[in-house]
Amino acid sequence: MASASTTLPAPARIGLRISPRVQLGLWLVLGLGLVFFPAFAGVYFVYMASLIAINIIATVGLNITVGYAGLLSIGHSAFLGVGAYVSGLMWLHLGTPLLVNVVGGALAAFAVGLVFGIPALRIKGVYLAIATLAAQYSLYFVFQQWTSVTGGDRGLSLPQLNVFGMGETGFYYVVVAIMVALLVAARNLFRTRIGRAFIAVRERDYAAEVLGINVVRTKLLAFGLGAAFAGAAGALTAAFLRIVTPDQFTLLVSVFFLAAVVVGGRASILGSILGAIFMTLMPELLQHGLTAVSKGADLAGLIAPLREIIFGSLIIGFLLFEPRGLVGLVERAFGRSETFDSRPEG
Amino acid sequence: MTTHWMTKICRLAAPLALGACLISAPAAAQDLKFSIPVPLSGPIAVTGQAQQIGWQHAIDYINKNGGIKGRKIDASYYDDEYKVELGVAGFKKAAADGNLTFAAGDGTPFVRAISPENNERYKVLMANTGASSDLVDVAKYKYHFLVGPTYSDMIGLLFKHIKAQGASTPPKVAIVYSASEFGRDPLENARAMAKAMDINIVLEEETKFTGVDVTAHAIKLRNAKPDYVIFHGYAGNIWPEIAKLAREYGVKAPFMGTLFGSHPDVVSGIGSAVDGYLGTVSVELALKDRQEPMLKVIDGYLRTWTAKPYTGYANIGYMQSWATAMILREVIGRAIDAGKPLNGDTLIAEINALKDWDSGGIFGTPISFEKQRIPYGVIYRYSWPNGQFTVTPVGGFQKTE
Repeated sequence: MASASTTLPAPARIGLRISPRVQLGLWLVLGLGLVFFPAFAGVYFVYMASLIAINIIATVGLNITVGYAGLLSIGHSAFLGVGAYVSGLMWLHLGTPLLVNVVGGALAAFAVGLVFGIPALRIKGVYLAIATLAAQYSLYFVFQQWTSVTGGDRGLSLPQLNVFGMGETGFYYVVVAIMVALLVAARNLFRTRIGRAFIAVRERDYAAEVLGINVVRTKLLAFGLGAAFAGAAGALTAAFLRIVTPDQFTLLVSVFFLAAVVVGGRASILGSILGAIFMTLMPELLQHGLTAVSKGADLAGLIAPLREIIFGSLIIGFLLFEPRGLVGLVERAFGRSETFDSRPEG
Repeated sequence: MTTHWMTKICRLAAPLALGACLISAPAAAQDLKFSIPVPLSGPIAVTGQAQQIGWQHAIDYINKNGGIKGRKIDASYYDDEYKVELGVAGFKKAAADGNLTFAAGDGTPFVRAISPENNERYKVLMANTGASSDLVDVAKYKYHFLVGPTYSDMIGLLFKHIKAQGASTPPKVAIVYSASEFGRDPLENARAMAKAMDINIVLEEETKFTGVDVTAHAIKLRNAKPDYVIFHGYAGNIWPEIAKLAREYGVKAPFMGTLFGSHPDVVSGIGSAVDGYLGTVSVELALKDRQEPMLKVIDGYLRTWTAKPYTGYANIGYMQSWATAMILREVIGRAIDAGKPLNGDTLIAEINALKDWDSGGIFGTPISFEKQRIPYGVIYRYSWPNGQFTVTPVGGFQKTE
């Protein structure tokens, strides 16, 4: 992703400093908010919250590959598909519990991600993006054509999941718990040698090699880890919707996650969270907002195109005025700034 | 410091709070609540927009004529972009508000996803504008009904027509279909029916759902030398281009098609290259100067659709919405008369109890349900006698086998 001449200095944070006590308080409030959210929200809001949490997991995975390691991928949804099918099949044939299915889906996607990460060893940038299309199309073909296993176009119908006997609320807690665990893992990853190796390889892989980093292993691992996050998200999607079909894992879905990374902010966990929330929630909010505004007027036919136009304009607006994405806006709102600008494609 | 933080949090939270406030208020208790997700954006938006207008017109007509036994319909529309997760979100939102009488479904994948939960928990009557062949599984889709035959039924009607031409040798048929779930849907049954009816399928050609380069497909059609070509699984493009190019390449075989490829405005847009095209549909489409009571009403509404020039022929999605609304008016009315609760169990029972129901012309024959679908269809011939586009039925409505 990064060109040879650009560097990503460590962000120089200026502005407001938050005391550890305030930070702890904020985390507590957030945690309590997540725990008690279903008590105050209806089924629809719990559903949307679960969907957002799943999308956050998938977006963080793509951000590891694209944002942190600089390996452009447009085949991310295929890895979600691997996780969804593997977990669905485990559930149907082995009767394994949800958490085991999620781990199984993540491991399967990790393995498949390693295979499709091989082109990253030789090519980068848009060339790599095109190569990842192979993952998208070949895996879609497998999902659709291997009818005896995947159910073909009609897919897999999964039984009802009733976590803790709490239905959707129980599932919400599981998804949120997995999301939090994976977010913490992703954040800590970049404090480790492996995570820093991702960033070093993104900045200049030759230099990273000179420093003793195994570039081959690092690139493959970046692909594999990103795919594993996607696999976990896919497994949760399967349990969430109780159906797995090939059309849930198309190129458009990959573009959705790529847009979430760009809009949220590359190489940022917070950016992934904000991007996933924006991409999932904004069309819904626009739809409700426009419907409310047009009450009484014969504008029903205009709501969909208006929503598309406004949504598209918002994305373009972010790219023009805040290339660091939503995370840049948040940092600005909290009086922080980072010294680097958006990095050109390499 | 704390105040400063709170101010900033409030600034960030304000847009979300505004969005939450904009969510519409609940309907009046007496109203019948309908949730209607339609694909207003995405790959099949053309059909979705026509469906929405059809629903709006039909509900306006019902409400202006006393509602259903005095109860008005309160419909909420939802653009699910033909995405399963958004369709489910829209359904849950509507169901969570309570008292949902009916939920439409814009596509079979959404119906497949929501049906297990609907069967176990919500028990809401549903109808889908798609026509996938597995929707006749009444145990799996317990509260769902189809407003017409399945895609396999439609292919069966076309095969029946082909056999009725009385060729001395097994007729050769090419099936050109889109690479979509509904495009591939009837293939397996089509092969079985062809074998049983001594029809030779000489080509099964899969194309993209959208795209422009169709040369390879047209060449394959020419090389296959079929006696008939059936297009299936398209909304408005690809197949017209293939048909035009195939004609230029010398393919003389009559063209045929199924439901959503047979919109009169799409076929008329192709021009005389498809003169004689035969399309299987589930509802009446020709409305101009018709005397049947409902067709007169619908024709009046169609003329008010200012965004679409009046041609005398209705879009299939538009007519399907009218057909569904009129069936609902009938069965909900019967349930209210009988003092039954308006839930999925009672309403699907009323659907299955409809026998030889007169739709006022929407269906060209009295209809009954079988396996929660309407097993009747009509083949229309689209032609240009004297340069004027006409749509005429071939043999009237017939029962599928």
